[in-house]
This record gives sequence, structure tokens and C-alpha cells, in this order.
Amino acid sequence: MSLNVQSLTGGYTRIPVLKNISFNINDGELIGLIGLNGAGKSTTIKHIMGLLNPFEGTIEIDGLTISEQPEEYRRKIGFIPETPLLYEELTLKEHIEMTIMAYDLDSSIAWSKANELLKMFRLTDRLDWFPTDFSKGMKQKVMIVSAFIIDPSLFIIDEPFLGLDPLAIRDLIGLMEERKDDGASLLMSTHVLANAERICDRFIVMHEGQIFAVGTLSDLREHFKMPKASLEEMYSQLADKEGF
Amino acid sequence: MIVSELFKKRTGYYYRQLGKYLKYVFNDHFVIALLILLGAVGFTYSNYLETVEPDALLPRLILFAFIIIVIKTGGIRTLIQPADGIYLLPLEKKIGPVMRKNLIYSLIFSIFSAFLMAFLTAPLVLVLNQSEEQASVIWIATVLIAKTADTLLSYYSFKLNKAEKENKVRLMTNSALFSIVFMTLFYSLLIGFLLSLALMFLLGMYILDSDKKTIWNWERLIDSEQKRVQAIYKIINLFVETPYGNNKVKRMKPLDAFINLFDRRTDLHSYYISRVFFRQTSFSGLYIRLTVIGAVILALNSSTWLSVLISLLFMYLIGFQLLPLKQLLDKTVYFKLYPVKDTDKIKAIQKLISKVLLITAILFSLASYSGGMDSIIVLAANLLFVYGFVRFYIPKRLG
Repeated sequence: MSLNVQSLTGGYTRIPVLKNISFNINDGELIGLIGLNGAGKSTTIKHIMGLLNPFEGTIEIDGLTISEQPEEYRRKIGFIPETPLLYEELTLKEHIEMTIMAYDLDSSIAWSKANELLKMFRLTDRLDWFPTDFSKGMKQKVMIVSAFIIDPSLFIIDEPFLGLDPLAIRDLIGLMEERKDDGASLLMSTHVLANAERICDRFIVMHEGQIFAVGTLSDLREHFKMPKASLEEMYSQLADKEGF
Repeated sequence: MIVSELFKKRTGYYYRQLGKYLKYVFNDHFVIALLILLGAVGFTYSNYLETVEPDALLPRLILFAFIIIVIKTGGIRTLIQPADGIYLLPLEKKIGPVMRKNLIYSLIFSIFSAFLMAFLTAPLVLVLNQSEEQASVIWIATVLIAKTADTLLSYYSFKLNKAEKENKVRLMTNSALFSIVFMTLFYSLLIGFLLSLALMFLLGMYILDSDKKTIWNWERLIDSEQKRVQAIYKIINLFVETPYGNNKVKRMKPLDAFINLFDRRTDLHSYYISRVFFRQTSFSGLYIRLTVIGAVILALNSSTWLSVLISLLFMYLIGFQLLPLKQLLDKTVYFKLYPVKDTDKIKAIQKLISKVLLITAILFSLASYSGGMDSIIVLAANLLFVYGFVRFYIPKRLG
């Protein structure tokens, strides 16, 4: 079992944003994290990343916790943030070199992976540029390349589709499915429910810092008694009924 | 909300923020170093005044550069914020009175600072021009008029939306300013003064005419205010972390060769900060400026002990301005996510600062060569300083 979150309560200050949430992601599983703005998706992600400390509960990746083995724990995670985070002072090439150094990757293997991805995203001739000058979609592509070359066992992908062109969305989905088949776990937070429905194995529906429902599409259909409904239909129905 | 009211609130907030941060600046022992430095520079300057030849070229060139810098630095405090480009657009006309107030305020402030600099340089100008003491009034007046003209030019450029026209006015005013200062220093005080009056008259006519049109160039307003505020906070950032530490980054590809000399690609933090050092102009630019100014002062100075003092002070300033590299490492989320140890940050900074300071130490020692043992004494003092600064001061200050 790759990621295991047990009765996690946490938040930024002393007021808990997340209230006692538990879930797990198995190897080779892609989970969609769904909820309205402010439901607690990003806070959950920050806790898993180790940017926030839980008030209560535990988070384990392959049995490791951040407090006991911080370096090994961090090496397991590849992160694609919602807003691209880039070094103002470094070129695209140097971003990749930084990643190689930080995660102690084998340089030639990592570069051959990187070159393949750069070619896929048509970034090869921009290696000497500052990515901070790129468009939103191109920055996002840089983040994708950096995350995929480290070959983590857990991918955390926060709202990946915004700003990407249709080709890149197709390629990203292809990459995610490829990694999934290799046994990696993926946690994806998104509002693009049509994409989520198409690629996710299971869904976690969050509301006000709690997990409202977990399961596959058919589990959710059964749970909400809406056979044949799409994720989007179920979600808006649910939101209206429950007064989300 | 009434626009003037909004800007009154902003002015209050702006000064409260500045005051809050300046408290930290003036509480630091850096200020004592600066005072000693000012004293040493003043002492060198007054000694120098007695020896300078009226037909010397070097002091004229230095003075020329200095006065041009005085005239061209500083801008108009507008307190325009980036979001105004969206929210205040419909209030275009109501911005006019507020901006005129800003102009008057900025004029008073810049005239005051220009007066101070003109007053301090007046004795040197008198010696160079072999004139009577009354002539210093003409010098000061010329500098003040030139400064006013430059401030008016910046105000005027807020209203220009056409690049060609703006470039023309800017080019003309700037070349007029250059020739005024040049005439004053190399030819005659009086002619420079008369030229400055003529420039002021022409520019004034032009701007009064254009002020009637009220379309503001918002992009420029926002951009210039951002730059101005960042320049202020760049200095404050040396002492205390502020949320305004956004710096200009330049690619400067030719420097990649130097970066490779500095960084052997062995450790993550070094890799990052050596690139930051070269490409963030606030770090590398200030380093080069301080090294050059220090070297020039050392070359002009002949007293051994003063040389040692000046050299050490400049070394301290250079080392000191590099300390905020730590803030940068702390602020970057990635260094929290990477699987690396936290203690390496200070080690990387020590490595970079010691390399940079060693280069300056050697340059300063060469600059202070004047036939005797000066160079060797300065070098020894500098090396001792580098050891102490890197080994003891940095861990204490950043740890």
C-alpha cells in the first residue's frame, strides 16, 4: 500500500481545516480528489507533502513517515503544483539539473527521460531560457517534466489541466496511465470532472474538511442512488441537495 | 470611494510600513560601519581637495558620473499598485489632481537630496574651475534645475502612449542634461547654468501643453512605481526580511563560464545560489559596484592605516549584502520538498561568500599598491577578515 492517511486532523493555524480524514491509495492506482473550492483538497495535499504538520493522525508512504525518515519520505513524492513554482534565476536546463541533484538521480538516465518528455512537450529548443518567461501552459509542462523524471512511487498532481493545450492534456494523461501501469500511485485533485471520470480508478469527494464519499464510479452511483449518472451530474445533484 | 481619499490612506500605510522596517535598519551595527565609512570617505575627500590640480581630468570624470547619477536616480512617488490598472481605469480623470500632488511632493524631496549632493561637491567644483566662492551658488542652481527637469520628464512620460514621441523627448532631454553637466565641469559654470535655464523653459512649455490631455500610460505608472518601491526594499531587505523582495533577473549568458568556475555541481544549494549571485543584478551588480568604488578610493588614498580601514569596511559591506541569500533559500518551497538536509544552506553561503571576498581581497590589495608595503598589509588584513567573517560572523548571523 503506497499512501496511507489515518485519521488526519490538521490545518494552518490552530483551527483545524481537515477533520479526521482517512484514506489510502494502492500501488498502481489513480485517485481523483474532488471538492468545491475551499473543501480542503490543497490542505490535504500540503499535509502529505510535509509542508504542514498534522495535529493528529498519521501519513505514511510505503510505510515511511516524514518525522522518522524525512529524506527517504520526500524522495518518494513527485509533485505537480496547481500554480507552477519555478526558480526565477535558473534556465529550463538548470531546473532539470537541480532536480537530478536534489533527488540524487543517475544523470544520464534522468536526462534521457527528460529529453524524451521535452520533445513530447516541444520544449527542446528552450533549454537555455528562463521558464519564468514562459506561458502558463509551458510552465506547467516544465513542472510535469521535473516530476516525471524523478520516478517517484507517489505522484501528487494538483489541478493539472488548466492552461495546457489539448495535445498536452492528452500526453499528460498518457504519461499518468503509463506510470500507473508501472505500479506508481497517483493522487490528482481536479475540477475537470469529465477528465477525472475518464481516468481515475477511485474518487474521494471532500466537503468542509471531511471525506463525504469514497469509491469507484459505480460505488458512487450506488451510494447516491443515481445509476448511469456521470460524475458531473452526481456532483452537482449532490451539491444542490446537500447545500454545499 | 473618492480617489484622493484612497491615496491618502495609501500614503499613510506606505510610511507606516517604511517606518516599521527602518527601525530595524537603524538598529543594526551595519549603520555604525556606514558612519565610519562616511567619515573615512569625507576625510579622504577633504585631504584630496588640497592636493587636486585645477586641470586634472580624473576628478572631472568622476564628478561628471556622480552628478549624472544624482540627477537620474529617484523618480516620482505615485503609490500606484498593479491592480489599479484594472480597478481605477474608469477614474482616469480623477487621478490627475492626485498625480500633481505626487509630482510636487517628489520635486521637493528630490530637490532636497540634489541640493545636499551639490553642496558637498561644490568645493571640488570651485577648485577645478578656479572660481570665487560665490560661484558655488551657480553650481548648486544648475544641479537643482537639471534635477527638476529630469523629474518633470518622468512625470511627462506617465502621459505618453506613443513610443516614438517618447523616445524623442527622452533622448533630447537626456542629451541636454549630459551637455549641461559636461559644459559646467569642462568649460564654464555660467554657460552650463544658462543652458539649464533654456532646457527648463522648453521642457516646461512642452509639458504644460501636454498636461491638458489626461490619458495616463497605466503600464508605465505601475511599472515605475514597482521599480521604485523595489529599489527601496532591496536595501531594507539587507537587514530584515520583507515581503517585497522581488528582484530583477537577467540571463547574461556570457557569465555562464564564470558560474561554472564557481560551482562544481556537487551540491544543490551551491548550485542554486551561485546562479542567483550572478543573475540577480541586485547581488552581482552591487558586488561589482562596491568593489570598483572601493578600489578607486584605495587607489587615490596613500595613508596605510586608512587604506586598511577602508578596505575592511568595503569587504564588510560586500559580505553583508550577500547575507540575504539565506532568506532566498528559506523562502523557496522546493528546499522544503527536496530530500536534503537543512544545514547545507549555511555551508553553501559560506563557500560562495568566501570565494567572492577572496577575489575582492586580492583586487583591493593591488589597488592600494603605492610602492611600499601597503599592498601586503592590506592583503593580510583582508585575509584575516575573510576568515573571521566566513567562519564566525556568518554562522552567528544566519544560524
